[in-house]
Parts: sequence; structure tokens; C-alpha cells
Amino acid sequence: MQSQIRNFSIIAHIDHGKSTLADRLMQFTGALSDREMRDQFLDKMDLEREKGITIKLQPVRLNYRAADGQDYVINLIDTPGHVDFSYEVSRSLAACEGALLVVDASQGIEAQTLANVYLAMDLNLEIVGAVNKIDLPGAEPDKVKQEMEDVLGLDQNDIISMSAKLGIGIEEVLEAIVKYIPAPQGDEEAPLQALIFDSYFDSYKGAICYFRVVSGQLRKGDIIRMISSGKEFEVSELGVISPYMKEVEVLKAGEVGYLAAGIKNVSDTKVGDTITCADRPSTEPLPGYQEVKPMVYCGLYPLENNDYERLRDALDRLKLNDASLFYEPETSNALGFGFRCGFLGLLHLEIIKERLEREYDLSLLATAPSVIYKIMLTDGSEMNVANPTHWPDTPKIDQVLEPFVKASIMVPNDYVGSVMELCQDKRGVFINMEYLSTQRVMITYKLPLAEILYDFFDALKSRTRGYASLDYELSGYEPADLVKLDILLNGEVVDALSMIVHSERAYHRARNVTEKLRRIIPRQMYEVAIQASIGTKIIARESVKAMRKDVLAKCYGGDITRKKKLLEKQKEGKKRMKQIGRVEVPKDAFLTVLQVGDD
Amino acid sequence: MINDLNSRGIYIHIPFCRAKCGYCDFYSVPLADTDWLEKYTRGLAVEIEQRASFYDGKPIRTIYLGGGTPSLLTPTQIEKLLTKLDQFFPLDSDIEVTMEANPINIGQHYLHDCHQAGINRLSLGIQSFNDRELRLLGRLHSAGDSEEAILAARAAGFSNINLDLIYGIPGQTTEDWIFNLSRAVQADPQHLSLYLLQLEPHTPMGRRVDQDQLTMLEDEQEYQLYQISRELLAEKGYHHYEISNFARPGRECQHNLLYWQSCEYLGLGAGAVSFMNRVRYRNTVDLDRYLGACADYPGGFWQGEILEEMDERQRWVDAVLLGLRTTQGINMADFQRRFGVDLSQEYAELLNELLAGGFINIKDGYLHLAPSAYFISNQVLYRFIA
Repeated sequence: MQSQIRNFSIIAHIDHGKSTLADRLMQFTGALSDREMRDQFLDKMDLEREKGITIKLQPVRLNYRAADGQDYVINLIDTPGHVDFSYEVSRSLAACEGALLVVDASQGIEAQTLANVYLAMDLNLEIVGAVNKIDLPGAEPDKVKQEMEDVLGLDQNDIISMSAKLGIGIEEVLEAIVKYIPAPQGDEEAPLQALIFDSYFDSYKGAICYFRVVSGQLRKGDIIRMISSGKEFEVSELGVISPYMKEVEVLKAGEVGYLAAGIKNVSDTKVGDTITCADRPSTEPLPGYQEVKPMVYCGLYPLENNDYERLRDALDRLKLNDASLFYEPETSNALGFGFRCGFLGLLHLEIIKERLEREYDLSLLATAPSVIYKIMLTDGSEMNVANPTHWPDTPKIDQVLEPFVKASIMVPNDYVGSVMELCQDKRGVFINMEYLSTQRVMITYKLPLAEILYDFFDALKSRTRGYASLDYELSGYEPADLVKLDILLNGEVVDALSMIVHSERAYHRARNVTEKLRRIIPRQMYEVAIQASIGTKIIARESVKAMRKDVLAKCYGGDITRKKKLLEKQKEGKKRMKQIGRVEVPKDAFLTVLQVGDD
Repeated sequence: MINDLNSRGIYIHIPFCRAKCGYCDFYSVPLADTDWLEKYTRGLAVEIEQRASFYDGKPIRTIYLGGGTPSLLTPTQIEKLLTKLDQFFPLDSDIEVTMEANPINIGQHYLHDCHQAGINRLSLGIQSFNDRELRLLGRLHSAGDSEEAILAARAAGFSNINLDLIYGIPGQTTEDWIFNLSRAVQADPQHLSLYLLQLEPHTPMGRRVDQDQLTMLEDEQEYQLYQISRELLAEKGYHHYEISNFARPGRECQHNLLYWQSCEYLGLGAGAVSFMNRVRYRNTVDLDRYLGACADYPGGFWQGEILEEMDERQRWVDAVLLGLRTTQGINMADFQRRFGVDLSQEYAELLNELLAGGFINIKDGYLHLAPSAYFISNQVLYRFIA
């Protein structure tokens, strides 16, 4: 009975208590016993627990007997709260009829939350508001409710006060979901249409799809067809997650579940695709998602050259879990064979790299992140450059366009001046400033994406004592005066260290990077000359003096074993280095040089 | 200076000192009661007999009494040990017998008797001719004691004398070091060992450095002191034959060469290390256990630990790492005969790289470090480890 089903997402800023709330909902509805309970149950990855953030959404089905005496099936689709992962949020929202907006009672609405609420409103989702962490000393629930009314138009009387940590207000949340969020209204008798909103790879069952049945019904044993590719598979397992996988015979319109169908190929479970039945197919795909576009690119190289195939394999696997990951093979003179990878943002990059290293036991080297530049060439053609190595020679360039974002920054009004100063510093163009309340201001700037990539968010946080929040969306490409800055070690360009910089900042950046490298590169047998150049012109120079002393003064009979061990240890230490020409470069140098805090 | 690579050396450890020096990392215990020396000598005599019963008969070229402070032994005790060795091991007729000595409480009379007992090479732990530096190192003797000891040694009949000096002492200037070195050269010893001060963190001086109470010299300064030493001693006719060792031609320490030529050796006494059949092992450092094992003779069993057991490859890599410490280096033809390994093939790529960088030379069939690489030799050596 669709009238007894409610599908909803939680929208919350990172740290506002979303995962804890999900835990409480599972406990309250008996999906998990207290014994089974562990914190942040739906955050399956170790990384998520460690970082205290949700990267990956996990759907869960709850059974709830409401105050009206009726039994409801409530499907909760957890969402990530970081700006890098807004794409995953939109996937979750598309499978729901409503969203629960959770706002921290002391922090108020954050820029990212606002963006996601607008996204939900665009999809015509019903919004249920809740103020969380009312138990904390700094909580001002009434003020925050007022803000939610002012900014989002919610009726503050309907906003629930809760503390997920203490279990206060959990029942009210469930009641509001049942009461305000509409039941799904798909036609159970129509041909099957089911929306894939996530998938992952299981080594035994093949690809597992998470989906929402929009119309029709799906049974175990059905032959399904992926509308985009036309490929067909037999459903070998069908089930719901509550929160453990539980097999069912049929899933009907309005329901959420998973399936396995012996699908071996990554590309056959495209997130956003529509599943239909082969013997009575729907020809119409559901409105899918926009093809996700990576915003940041970097090269990933195995430290051991013969790990290349393993890296490819690992990327193939991860891609199944993460539709937003992009990669293609590339070669670097300095680093050998690797992949140019595209990410949603720096956190995404960091997470993928860490997952590859941890889950696949790889040791990786990441090059400096870059955005995609559009270059108009003098011969009238146009090219996209995601890797500074491919930057054309200056005479061939007619014009360079770089991606800009529209950044919305929410901040207490005391910090307006310092935020604006930061934005000007990063080549920002002021667009708008709006008071959300007497205390809170939304500042809008147009900023080059490349400028906010590296450390903008950290700088923003430190200038506003952590109070600012940031959201941004791509606003388009605009002409910019950019040059390619090369780094040379002992006279050889290290392609993996090249970067694109604004010409006015090239000198400063060059000095900064060479200086940084001088400190990172350890003394070695030879003097190492570090230079930065634009074209053939050297604009900065540093050197690492040759090592003077590395000797064992004494080595006699009683001591040989120990002295040999010292040499062996030294040999081991070399594994943390990448040999480029004659120079040994620590593997984290490639990312570190980019973290230029004082630009 | 080529040894027969089949011959062996015997090292005897005397683990007693009057007081422990602040930089010392060797095994020694403060000597509370001279009775211990007698007990220990008896123990050693037993070990000599025990070890000899398993011995394969290869000739012994060198004996080295190290410590600790071997010069705490009486001439009678020394004579007893050497006689015992002569009785149970096939000693070469021209055997080199070295004793380490502290330049304190060793008068001409004492040294004369030692010489008579069979010691023919004396290694004096001078360390410095600067009293401030000696105090900092925690040495009990003064520069004056050193001068006297050298004179006494010569008068006692020693014609093969080594002086140990330490450089890179906190606060040491170039002038300080040149002064030390000049005083040493004036004494005209046959051999000089110059050791860069390298502190282990658990030694008293090491701790003071960790706690910022002492500041070691900069690498560059230490390097300069080393270079000065090389130049000055070359001028005075000393042959630089190992990273830290210099000698009048023909007066290289045969015992130490044996280590660097990766020959086998027997280590006798508590904490002494032996190297036989690709195994390095150490006698127990526990004095009671050591003496206990010896007392059980003839049923006594060996107490100690195995430090490393090498496979074939590790064995010859060991020989490379040690051989490259000598300035003469490794005779590659000998090496191939000895281990069946052609280094020029085995390390073709590495050798080319090191040759191109000027860190090694290959000349007249010898592979050796370039002098400019001595002070960064670890950078070269570790690359030879598989």
C-alpha cells in the first residue's frame, strides 16, 4: 500500500548531527536493537567514522506504527553534507517525496544546507524542519527557528526541537514525516520504471544497485533492462535494507530496495539510469541526473611503477561506488604511468586517494590539483586542458578561459570585512550582500575555481573563527591572464610539478614554491638546483646543498651487524621517495607545494 | 697489506672500566674489585680451551685485546691469556697482538712487562690533547697523562703505537682540532684512528644533546675537520687506508683489516662477537652467566645470541659493505674467486651511476670509494644492499 510508505532524505550541514539522528530513528523504530547499535551505523566506511563525516549514502527501511495506529514503511536515504558531494545529495533527493531539514541550534543555517534545501524545493519535495542539539549550552532554538522561517519560509511553529544525542524529539520527527510528507503515487500496474540512485560492487554478487521503484513492480527472477544501454539481466536477488540486507519477493511502486543480477561490468549500472522489465518494458526513461562533471583534476601515480595495473583495477572498482569519479590513463616524464583523475573537490580527491591506499594497499603519489581551462588557439581551434603538461606554447595561445564559480558565503556580520578582503585577494568579484537576519549575512562573490581549490575554505574558516560556511556552483568560463609555471630540478622540467597561475602572481608563487621545495627535498649526494620558469625565463631559484655528512665513523667486529642494520634502514627510507632524474623527491612534495597559505 | 683471507683473528673483550665515558656505547662495567680481573682471566682461559676443541685449525694472524679497558689487567694475567692462546690455537709466528690502553696508570714498567708478555702493538685512547674536551668526554686522564703514556710506551719498547683521537666534540674549533692533530703527529705514532663523535641517544652525552644542553657541530664543520685531517696527515706521510684510519705505510692494523676484508674472527669474553660460517653471534654480556658457563668446563655450553645468519647473497653483500670502507677497496677478481660473484655485472647499473657521479672509482681491478665520498659513504653503501 503506497499510502503507508514515506520516502525521505535528511538535509543537514556536516556536524549538525544527521548521522546520529539516523541512528536514533533506527533504534526508535526497532530496526536496530540497542545491542546492535554502534555510532553512525549508516556510515559504513572506516574513513567516514574517522573523519566524522558522511561520504556515502546508505538507504535504510524503517517500520513505524504511528500515533494514528497505522503501520508505515519509512525509507530514509542518508545524504552527505559536504560541498564536494552535492551531487550525491541530489541523487538521494530525487528518490524521495520529502526531506527533513536538520539545523544545529547554535550554528544556524549554513550555506551548504541552504543550497540543498533549494535543491529539494526545486524537486517539489515537502520540507520538514527540525532544530537539533537543543541540549547544548549555546543552543538558541528560537532564534534559529526564526531564521528558518525568514530565510526558507517554513512556519516556525511546525519546526521540531530535538536532541538526537539524547533522543529528544525523535517521535515528533517520525510523526511529522508521516503527517507532512506525501505518500508516493506511482501506478503499480504500469510498466516498471525504477531509478538507480546508487550502486556498489560486491565481489560475490557483482554490482548491487540501490533503486526506487517509481511505477510498476519488480520481482525476483524478472529479466530487467537498463534503458540507457538496453542491456538485460536476470534479477538473482531482490531486497530491502533494514538496516541489514533482507530479501523480498517483490518491490512495488513507491518502494526502495536493492537488487543483484550478476552484473559484472561497471558501466552497466549507471547511476541515474532507469530500470525496466524486458517482457513489458517502459520506453520512457525517468528524468535522470545531470552527468556529473568533475571540477578538480590531478594525476595519481603508483609509487612502485609495477603497481599500475593494480591501480587501474582499484579505480575500476571504486568507480562503481562513486559515479562522480573520473579517470583516464596518462604518462608523466617524471612519474611514469598513472591516471589523470577528476574529482568533485579536494575532499573528494583526498578521500579517493586514501581509499585507494587503504582498501587496495597501494602507495600513491598525487600531483597538484588543477581545474579545466579552455584555450582558444590562434589557428581558431579550441582545447580543454586539465593537465598543465598539455598547456600549449604561448605563441599558439589566443585566449585562455578559466572556470569561475558563484560562491555564497554565510557569515556573522562581524566578519564581513575580513571575508571580503579574502575574496578580493583571491581575484574575486563582488556580486551581492544580503542580510538573512540582523546577525547573519550572505555574501556572494564570483571567484576563479582554481583560487578556491587549494586553501580557500581553510582560510575562510580561520578568518571567521569557524563561523563561515561556503557553497559554490560553477558559473561559467571567463577570460583570464594565465601562464604556465614550470618547476625544474637540476635543469630538467618536472612535468608533474607544473602549474597554471595568474600572471600577476607568478613571481610570488614561483618564489613560494621553490622555497617550499628547498625545505621538503632532503640533502642528497648532489646539490639540487630548484628553479621556476615561465617558458624559458627563470623567475625563481633555490638550491639544496649537497649532503656533507652521512658516515659511520666506526665499524668493527662487534658492531658490524648493528651498523649494517642502519644502512638497511636507510635503504628502506628510500621507498618513501620518488626518483626524478638523479633527484629523490619525497612523495608528498607534489601536493605540499600547492598548499601555499600566504598567497 | 693483503691478508690471507682464510686466516682469522681473535678478539678478547675485557669489559671493565674504572668509569664509563659519557660518549661510550660499548659494553663495560665499572670495576669495583680487582678480584674480578682474576676471575675473568680464569674464565677466559676456560673459554679458550672450550673454543679450541671445536676449532678447525685455520691460522690465527692477529689478536686484539679490546674493551672496556684491557690495561686494567696485570702483565701476569695478560701473559697467562697469550700463553693459553698459543697453546690451543695455531698462531702465526709474526702475529700482531694489539692491546688497547688508557693513558692513565700505565707506567713504563707496566708497559715493559706487557711488551714482554707478548703485546706488540699498543692502542692508546688519547681522544684529545685538550683538557676541556677530555672533561666534556668524561675521560679520567689529562693531556699531560697522554704525553707521559706515549713516552713510556716508546721507552718500554713499543714500536707500533696507535693513538685514538675524537673530533667533532661540542665547542671544538678548527684551531682546537689542528692543535690536537699536531700534538698527535709530533708524538710520531705509527697509526692514528680519528673518530667523528657520534652519540647514541642512550649515552649520557647523547641525552645532554637531546636536552639541548650540548650542541653538536654542524655537518659542514665536521666535514671540514675531516678534510683538514686528511690533508694534514697526508702531508706528514700517513696513509689514509680506511674511512677513519691512517697509518705509516705497512703499519695498518692487521686485525681491523681482517674485519673490513670480511674475514672470520673469534670473539672471546663477555659480550664478544664472533663471525664464523656466515653467522655473527655474541657471547652473553652477563658476567655471571659468562663465568658460569666457563666454570662448567668441560660440559659448559655456549651462552649468547645469534646476531645474524646470512644467506649466500647476504654474505657477499656484507663483504662489499665492509670492503668499501677501505681506501684500497675491493679487488674484484679476488672477490669473484672468493664468492663467485662478478660485481661489475651484478651492480652494472649502480656502478655506472656512481661512477658518473664521481662517488666511486674502478682502477687496476679495484672498486673503491672516491675520496670525496668517504664522508657520505653511507649514501653509497646502502645502495649495494639488495
